[in-house]
Amino acid sequence: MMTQFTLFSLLILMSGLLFAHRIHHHFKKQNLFTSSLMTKIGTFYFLSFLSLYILLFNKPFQLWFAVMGLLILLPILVFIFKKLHQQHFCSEFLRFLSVVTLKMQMGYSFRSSYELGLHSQRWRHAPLLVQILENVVFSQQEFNLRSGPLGRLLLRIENELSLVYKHQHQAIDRLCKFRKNFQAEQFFRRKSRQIWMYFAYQLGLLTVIYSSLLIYIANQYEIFQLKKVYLLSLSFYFLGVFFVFLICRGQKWHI
Amino acid sequence: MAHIAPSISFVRETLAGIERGQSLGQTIQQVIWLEESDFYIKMRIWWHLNRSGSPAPQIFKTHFQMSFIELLESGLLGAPVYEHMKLLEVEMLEEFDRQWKASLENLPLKLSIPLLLCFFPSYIILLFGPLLVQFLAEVQ
Repeated sequence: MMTQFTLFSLLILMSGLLFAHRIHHHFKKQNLFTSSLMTKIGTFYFLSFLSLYILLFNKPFQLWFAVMGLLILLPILVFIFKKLHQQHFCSEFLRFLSVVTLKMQMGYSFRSSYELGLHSQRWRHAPLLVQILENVVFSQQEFNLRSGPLGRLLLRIENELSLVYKHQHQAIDRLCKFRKNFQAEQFFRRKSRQIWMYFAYQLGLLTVIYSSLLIYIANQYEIFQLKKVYLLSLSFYFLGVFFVFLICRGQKWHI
Repeated sequence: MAHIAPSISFVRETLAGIERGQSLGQTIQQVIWLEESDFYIKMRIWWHLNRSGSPAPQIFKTHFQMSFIELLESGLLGAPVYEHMKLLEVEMLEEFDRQWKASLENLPLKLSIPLLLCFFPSYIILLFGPLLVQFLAEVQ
């Protein structure tokens, strides 16, 4: 029984890792993950799984839950990371635009200003900024980030900057206007995001408390003996999650 | 609700298009395909009907949306609409701010319902359920 459980969890682990590898590969292609960050994530996961196997080798059911939990956590973390990455990119891009505008006001052309801006300091999203410049300058090139919110944002930036690049006589005015609009938009998005974050924090906190309690109770009592109690409690919990999502989805702007 | 209201983003994109020197028609034609939200789909329907000369459908709910459509229609007939659209944008942003504040005020109350009806019982069952089962077994 124990061997079967362990083998089963190992199988899930392997398929989960394969799935995770595919997701990582996809994000790496989009310049979201650097190779070093991918290595760090991979090492962290490998060490976590190894310690779980060592610690819970004699408790197959708990091991199965822990491994599943860790694998479920991965896409959630990736989603959070992607959102944070997008937010950080927006704020960094605003700073970058200020540098470019300043260089242009000093008399440099758009392309020179952009390149000087890129080398003026160490930008965290330098690969993306370089990609934007390449797409603006060599406009026949395909932009590989066309889907998703970040893709759409990059496409918009690329379109706006290519107009700035093509119409050099109004370049500074255009760039200033774009920067002002972008800043205002980010301000309203941040406000809007606050409501969503409220839901996320509430749900996150409740989940952490519930999981800790579940682990504690599962360690204290026999799981199979009290399966009805666990099922009832879990049903109430997921019903709550469902209601929170329902309320979250119901929040709409009536403008 | 994690994004700006689609109607506001549509107005902003239209203004940006006009500022770029594009015609109103050209701008609308580009902007309607930027998002897949309900409002953008309605705008596509309106645009299609407007091109074929049919009257505007009654699919727009708020007075901001209806005013925007009126502005677009007069703009397409040749009237200057940029300044009016700017004013409408300011009004819409003020309304956005008002609704945002109201939502933040109501959130704790709304979230207390699942908390009391679902999460709280799930914790109670998890905490006292095993004890109750043990107690009943001992009594029997």
